[in-house]
Amino acid sequence: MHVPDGFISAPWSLATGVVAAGAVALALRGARRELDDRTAPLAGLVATFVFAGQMVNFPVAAGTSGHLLGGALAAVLVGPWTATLCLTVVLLVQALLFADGGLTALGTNVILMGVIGVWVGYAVFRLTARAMTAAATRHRPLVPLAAGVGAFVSVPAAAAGFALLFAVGGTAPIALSTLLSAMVGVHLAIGVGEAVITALVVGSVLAVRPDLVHGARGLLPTRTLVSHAEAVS
Amino acid sequence: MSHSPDVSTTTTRAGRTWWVLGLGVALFVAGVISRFASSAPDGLERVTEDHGIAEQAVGSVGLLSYGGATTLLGLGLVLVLTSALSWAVRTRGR
Repeated sequence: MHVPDGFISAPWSLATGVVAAGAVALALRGARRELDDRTAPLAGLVATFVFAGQMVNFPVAAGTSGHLLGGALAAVLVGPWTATLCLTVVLLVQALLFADGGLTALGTNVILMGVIGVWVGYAVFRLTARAMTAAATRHRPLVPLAAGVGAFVSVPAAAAGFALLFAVGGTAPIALSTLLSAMVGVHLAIGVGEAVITALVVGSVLAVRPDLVHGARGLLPTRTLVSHAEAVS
Repeated sequence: MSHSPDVSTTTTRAGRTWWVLGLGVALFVAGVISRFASSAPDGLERVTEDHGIAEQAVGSVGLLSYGGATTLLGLGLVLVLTSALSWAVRTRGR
Protein backbone atom coordinates (compact mmCIF):
# COMPACT_ATOMS: atom_id res chain seq x y z
CA MET A 1 0.00 0.00 0.00
CA HIS A 2 2.86 2.37 -0.73
CA VAL A 3 1.51 5.51 -2.40
CA PRO A 4 3.77 6.59 -5.30
CA ASP A 5 4.58 10.14 -6.40
CA GLY A 6 1.81 11.75 -8.44
CA PHE A 7 -1.29 10.32 -6.73
CA ILE A 8 -1.69 13.17 -4.27
CA SER A 9 -1.48 16.81 -5.41
CA ALA A 10 1.50 18.97 -4.42
CA PRO A 11 -0.33 21.08 -1.80
CA TRP A 12 -1.82 18.00 -0.16
CA SER A 13 1.52 16.20 -0.27
CA LEU A 14 3.02 19.18 1.52
CA ALA A 15 0.19 19.12 4.06
CA THR A 16 0.61 15.40 4.74
CA GLY A 17 4.35 15.97 5.07
CA VAL A 18 3.76 18.63 7.73
CA VAL A 19 1.23 16.48 9.61
CA ALA A 20 3.54 13.45 9.44
CA ALA A 21 6.48 15.52 10.73
CA GLY A 22 4.32 16.67 13.63
CA ALA A 23 3.31 13.09 14.37
CA VAL A 24 6.93 11.98 14.39
CA ALA A 25 7.86 14.85 16.72
CA LEU A 26 5.10 13.77 19.13
CA ALA A 27 6.21 10.14 18.79
CA LEU A 28 9.78 11.08 19.72
CA ARG A 29 8.41 12.51 22.98
CA GLY A 30 5.96 9.69 23.60
CA ALA A 31 8.51 6.96 22.92
CA ARG A 32 10.51 8.10 25.96
CA ARG A 33 7.86 6.55 28.17
CA GLU A 34 7.91 3.27 26.24
CA LEU A 35 11.63 2.69 25.79
CA ASP A 36 14.17 1.88 28.45
CA ASP A 37 17.41 -0.05 28.62
CA ARG A 38 15.54 -3.35 28.40
CA THR A 39 13.03 -2.60 25.65
CA ALA A 40 15.09 -0.32 23.36
CA PRO A 41 16.86 -3.24 21.61
CA LEU A 42 13.45 -4.69 20.67
CA ALA A 43 12.53 -1.55 18.70
CA GLY A 44 15.34 -1.99 16.15
CA LEU A 45 14.40 -5.62 15.77
CA VAL A 46 10.71 -4.83 15.25
CA ALA A 47 11.45 -2.24 12.55
CA THR A 48 13.78 -4.70 10.80
CA PHE A 49 11.13 -7.41 10.92
CA VAL A 50 8.47 -5.05 9.55
CA PHE A 51 10.81 -4.07 6.68
CA ALA A 52 11.33 -7.77 5.91
CA GLY A 53 7.64 -8.62 6.30
CA GLN A 54 6.58 -5.86 3.92
CA MET A 55 8.62 -7.59 1.18
CA VAL A 56 6.52 -10.74 1.34
CA ASN A 57 3.37 -10.30 -0.73
CA PHE A 58 0.76 -12.99 -0.17
CA PRO A 59 -2.06 -13.66 -2.67
CA VAL A 60 -5.54 -12.59 -1.54
CA ALA A 61 -7.55 -12.96 -4.75
CA ALA A 62 -6.96 -13.61 -8.46
CA GLY A 63 -4.33 -11.11 -9.54
CA THR A 64 -4.17 -9.30 -6.20
CA SER A 65 -1.77 -9.57 -3.31
CA GLY A 66 -1.20 -7.94 0.02
CA HIS A 67 1.63 -7.62 2.47
CA LEU A 68 2.14 -6.99 6.16
CA LEU A 69 1.83 -3.33 7.12
CA GLY A 70 3.15 -4.07 10.60
CA GLY A 71 1.70 -1.08 12.45
CA ALA A 72 -0.44 -3.05 14.89
CA LEU A 73 2.34 -5.63 15.33
CA ALA A 74 4.89 -2.97 16.22
CA ALA A 75 2.45 -1.14 18.52
CA VAL A 76 1.67 -4.27 20.55
CA LEU A 77 5.34 -5.25 20.82
CA VAL A 78 7.01 -1.89 21.57
CA GLY A 79 4.17 0.57 22.17
CA PRO A 80 2.34 2.86 19.72
CA TRP A 81 4.67 5.89 19.91
CA THR A 82 7.72 3.75 19.24
CA ALA A 83 5.76 1.91 16.53
CA THR A 84 5.15 5.20 14.70
CA LEU A 85 8.92 5.78 14.78
CA CYS A 86 9.64 2.23 13.57
CA LEU A 87 7.24 2.52 10.62
CA THR A 88 8.63 5.96 9.73
CA VAL A 89 12.18 4.61 9.52
CA VAL A 90 10.99 1.65 7.40
CA LEU A 91 9.08 3.94 5.02
CA LEU A 92 11.99 6.40 4.82
CA VAL A 93 14.49 3.71 3.85
CA GLN A 94 12.03 2.18 1.36
CA ALA A 95 11.38 5.55 -0.30
CA LEU A 96 15.01 6.71 -0.35
CA LEU A 97 16.71 3.51 -1.44
CA PHE A 98 14.10 1.61 -3.39
CA ALA A 99 11.53 4.23 -4.49
CA ASP A 100 9.02 1.92 -2.79
CA GLY A 101 6.53 4.70 -2.04
CA GLY A 102 7.26 8.12 -3.51
CA LEU A 103 9.45 10.68 -1.75
CA THR A 104 6.76 13.36 -2.08
CA ALA A 105 4.30 10.75 -0.76
CA LEU A 106 6.42 9.96 2.29
CA GLY A 107 4.20 12.07 4.53
CA THR A 108 1.11 10.35 3.10
CA ASN A 109 2.59 6.91 3.65
CA VAL A 110 3.68 7.77 7.21
CA ILE A 111 0.12 8.93 7.97
CA LEU A 112 -1.50 5.83 6.43
CA MET A 113 0.80 3.13 7.81
CA GLY A 114 2.72 4.80 10.66
CA VAL A 115 -0.15 6.75 12.20
CA ILE A 116 -3.51 5.25 11.14
CA GLY A 117 -2.24 1.66 10.91
CA VAL A 118 -0.39 1.91 14.23
CA TRP A 119 -2.96 3.79 16.29
CA VAL A 120 -6.15 2.16 15.00
CA GLY A 121 -4.45 -1.21 15.41
CA TYR A 122 -3.35 -0.38 18.94
CA ALA A 123 -6.71 1.09 20.00
CA VAL A 124 -8.62 -1.95 18.73
CA PHE A 125 -6.06 -4.22 20.39
CA ARG A 126 -6.54 -2.48 23.75
CA LEU A 127 -10.33 -2.53 23.56
CA THR A 128 -10.38 -6.19 22.49
CA ALA A 129 -7.88 -7.22 25.16
CA ARG A 130 -9.90 -5.44 27.84
CA ALA A 131 -13.16 -7.05 26.73
CA MET A 132 -11.53 -10.49 26.54
CA THR A 133 -9.81 -10.15 29.90
CA ALA A 134 -13.13 -9.44 31.56
CA ALA A 135 -14.60 -12.61 30.09
CA ALA A 136 -11.76 -15.12 30.34
CA THR A 137 -9.84 -16.84 33.09
CA ARG A 138 -6.62 -17.57 31.16
CA HIS A 139 -5.13 -14.32 29.97
CA ARG A 140 -1.98 -15.30 28.12
CA PRO A 141 -3.55 -16.44 24.81
CA LEU A 142 -5.62 -13.27 24.74
CA VAL A 143 -2.73 -10.98 23.88
CA PRO A 144 -1.92 -12.52 20.47
CA LEU A 145 -5.64 -12.91 19.72
CA ALA A 146 -6.39 -9.29 20.54
CA ALA A 147 -3.29 -8.24 18.56
CA GLY A 148 -4.71 -10.15 15.58
CA VAL A 149 -8.03 -8.34 15.87
CA GLY A 150 -6.25 -4.98 16.04
CA ALA A 151 -4.13 -5.92 13.02
CA PHE A 152 -7.20 -7.01 11.05
CA VAL A 153 -8.96 -3.66 11.56
CA SER A 154 -5.81 -1.58 11.00
CA VAL A 155 -5.48 -2.55 7.33
CA PRO A 156 -8.93 -1.47 6.03
CA ALA A 157 -8.57 1.61 8.28
CA ALA A 158 -5.37 2.63 6.48
CA ALA A 159 -7.04 1.84 3.15
CA ALA A 160 -10.00 4.06 4.08
CA GLY A 161 -7.50 6.75 5.03
CA PHE A 162 -6.09 6.65 1.51
CA ALA A 163 -9.57 6.89 -0.05
CA LEU A 164 -10.45 9.91 2.12
CA LEU A 165 -7.16 11.63 1.38
CA PHE A 166 -7.54 10.95 -2.33
CA ALA A 167 -11.05 12.43 -2.26
CA VAL A 168 -9.64 15.79 -1.14
CA GLY A 169 -6.14 15.77 -2.63
CA GLY A 170 -6.16 13.13 -5.36
CA THR A 171 -5.07 13.80 -8.94
CA ALA A 172 -7.86 11.85 -10.68
CA PRO A 173 -11.62 12.35 -10.52
CA ILE A 174 -13.31 9.46 -8.72
CA ALA A 175 -16.29 9.29 -6.39
CA LEU A 176 -15.29 8.82 -2.76
CA SER A 177 -17.85 6.04 -2.27
CA THR A 178 -16.44 4.08 -5.24
CA LEU A 179 -12.84 4.35 -4.10
CA LEU A 180 -13.70 3.79 -0.45
CA SER A 181 -15.64 0.58 -1.05
CA ALA A 182 -13.01 -0.78 -3.45
CA MET A 183 -10.12 0.01 -1.08
CA VAL A 184 -11.84 -1.28 2.05
CA GLY A 185 -13.11 -4.39 0.25
CA VAL A 186 -9.69 -5.55 -0.93
CA HIS A 187 -8.01 -4.61 2.32
CA LEU A 188 -10.45 -6.57 4.47
CA ALA A 189 -8.99 -9.66 2.77
CA ILE A 190 -5.43 -8.42 3.26
CA GLY A 191 -6.31 -7.70 6.89
CA VAL A 192 -6.86 -11.42 7.46
CA GLY A 193 -3.25 -12.09 6.47
CA GLU A 194 -2.11 -9.18 8.66
CA ALA A 195 -4.05 -10.66 11.59
CA VAL A 196 -2.54 -14.14 11.20
CA ILE A 197 1.05 -12.88 10.92
CA THR A 198 0.61 -10.45 13.81
CA ALA A 199 -0.93 -13.05 16.14
CA LEU A 200 1.82 -15.57 15.33
CA VAL A 201 4.67 -13.12 15.84
CA VAL A 202 3.22 -11.63 19.05
CA GLY A 203 2.62 -15.17 20.35
CA SER A 204 6.21 -16.13 19.55
CA VAL A 205 7.71 -13.10 21.29
CA LEU A 206 5.42 -13.70 24.28
CA ALA A 207 6.70 -17.27 24.50
CA VAL A 208 10.34 -16.12 24.62
CA ARG A 209 10.28 -12.76 26.42
CA PRO A 210 6.81 -11.96 27.81
CA ASP A 211 8.35 -9.19 29.91
CA LEU A 212 9.28 -7.18 26.80
CA VAL A 213 5.85 -7.14 25.16
CA HIS A 214 4.41 -3.66 25.69
CA GLY A 215 0.82 -4.69 25.03
CA ALA A 216 0.96 -7.48 27.63
CA ARG A 217 1.75 -5.11 30.51
CA GLY A 218 -1.01 -5.16 33.03
CA LEU A 219 -2.67 -8.12 31.32
CA LEU A 220 -0.34 -10.93 32.32
CA PRO A 221 0.32 -11.70 35.98
CA THR A 222 3.31 -9.66 37.12
CA ARG A 223 4.67 -12.69 38.97
CA THR A 224 5.64 -14.25 35.62
CA LEU A 225 7.41 -11.12 34.47
CA VAL A 226 9.39 -10.54 37.62
CA SER A 227 10.41 -14.16 38.17
CA HIS A 228 11.67 -14.51 34.62
CA ALA A 229 13.80 -11.37 34.80
CA GLU A 230 15.29 -12.46 38.08
CA ALA A 231 15.84 -16.02 37.01
CA VAL A 232 18.18 -15.03 34.20
CA SER A 233 20.09 -12.24 35.91
CA MET B 1 25.38 -4.89 15.02
CA SER B 2 24.25 -1.76 16.79
CA HIS B 3 23.55 -3.77 19.91
CA SER B 4 26.39 -2.39 21.95
CA PRO B 5 27.90 -4.73 24.53
CA ASP B 6 27.51 -2.17 27.32
CA VAL B 7 23.75 -2.39 27.02
CA SER B 8 23.65 -2.31 30.81
CA THR B 9 23.70 -4.76 33.61
CA THR B 10 20.16 -5.86 32.86
CA THR B 11 21.21 -7.42 29.56
CA THR B 12 22.05 -10.99 30.25
CA ARG B 13 23.20 -13.71 27.89
CA ALA B 14 19.56 -14.80 27.63
CA GLY B 15 18.81 -11.20 26.72
CA ARG B 16 21.08 -11.40 23.71
CA THR B 17 19.94 -14.80 22.56
CA TRP B 18 16.38 -13.72 21.83
CA TRP B 19 17.72 -10.66 20.01
CA VAL B 20 20.00 -12.67 17.72
CA LEU B 21 17.17 -15.17 17.18
CA GLY B 22 14.81 -12.35 16.23
CA LEU B 23 17.32 -10.90 13.77
CA GLY B 24 17.75 -14.36 12.26
CA VAL B 25 13.99 -14.62 11.73
CA ALA B 26 13.90 -11.20 10.02
CA LEU B 27 16.79 -12.18 7.73
CA PHE B 28 15.08 -15.49 6.94
CA VAL B 29 11.85 -13.70 6.02
CA ALA B 30 13.68 -11.17 3.82
CA GLY B 31 16.09 -13.63 2.21
CA VAL B 32 14.16 -16.88 1.88
CA ILE B 33 10.42 -16.44 2.37
CA SER B 34 10.38 -13.35 0.13
CA ARG B 35 11.42 -15.58 -2.79
CA PHE B 36 7.96 -17.14 -2.63
CA ALA B 37 6.21 -13.77 -2.51
CA SER B 38 3.37 -13.11 -4.93
CA SER B 39 4.29 -10.78 -7.77
CA ALA B 40 0.65 -9.74 -8.27
CA PRO B 41 -0.15 -6.08 -7.65
CA ASP B 42 -1.01 -5.29 -4.03
CA GLY B 43 -4.38 -3.99 -2.90
CA LEU B 44 -3.63 -0.31 -3.57
CA GLU B 45 -2.05 -1.08 -6.97
CA ARG B 46 -5.01 -3.26 -7.95
CA VAL B 47 -7.65 -0.70 -6.95
CA THR B 48 -5.84 2.26 -8.54
CA GLU B 49 -5.31 0.26 -11.77
CA ASP B 50 -8.99 -0.70 -11.87
CA HIS B 51 -10.15 2.88 -11.34
CA GLY B 52 -7.86 4.79 -13.65
CA ILE B 53 -5.74 6.31 -10.94
CA ALA B 54 -2.56 4.31 -11.55
CA GLU B 55 -1.57 6.34 -14.62
CA GLN B 56 -1.20 9.39 -12.38
CA ALA B 57 1.84 7.77 -10.79
CA VAL B 58 5.06 9.58 -11.55
CA GLY B 59 7.59 6.83 -12.12
CA SER B 60 10.28 7.63 -9.64
CA VAL B 61 13.42 5.59 -10.10
CA GLY B 62 14.90 4.16 -6.94
CA LEU B 63 18.61 4.00 -6.39
CA LEU B 64 18.32 0.28 -5.89
CA SER B 65 15.96 -2.59 -6.51
CA TYR B 66 15.27 -5.29 -3.94
CA GLY B 67 17.74 -8.17 -4.21
CA GLY B 68 20.26 -10.03 -2.06
CA ALA B 69 22.83 -7.36 -1.20
CA THR B 70 20.56 -4.34 -1.51
CA THR B 71 17.92 -5.95 0.71
CA LEU B 72 20.63 -6.59 3.29
CA LEU B 73 21.65 -2.92 3.05
CA GLY B 74 18.04 -1.84 3.58
CA LEU B 75 17.61 -4.17 6.54
CA GLY B 76 20.89 -3.00 8.07
CA LEU B 77 19.98 0.65 7.61
CA VAL B 78 16.55 0.17 9.24
CA LEU B 79 18.15 -1.73 12.12
CA VAL B 80 20.87 0.86 12.75
CA LEU B 81 18.60 3.91 12.38
CA THR B 82 15.81 2.55 14.60
CA SER B 83 18.23 1.21 17.20
CA ALA B 84 20.12 4.50 17.37
CA LEU B 85 16.86 6.45 17.61
CA SER B 86 15.31 4.28 20.31
CA TRP B 87 18.57 4.18 22.22
CA ALA B 88 18.76 7.98 22.12
CA VAL B 89 15.21 8.62 23.36
CA ARG B 90 15.00 5.82 25.92
CA THR B 91 14.53 6.41 29.61
CA ARG B 92 17.91 5.62 31.07
CA GLY B 93 18.72 3.25 33.85
CA ARG B 94 15.45 1.39 34.17
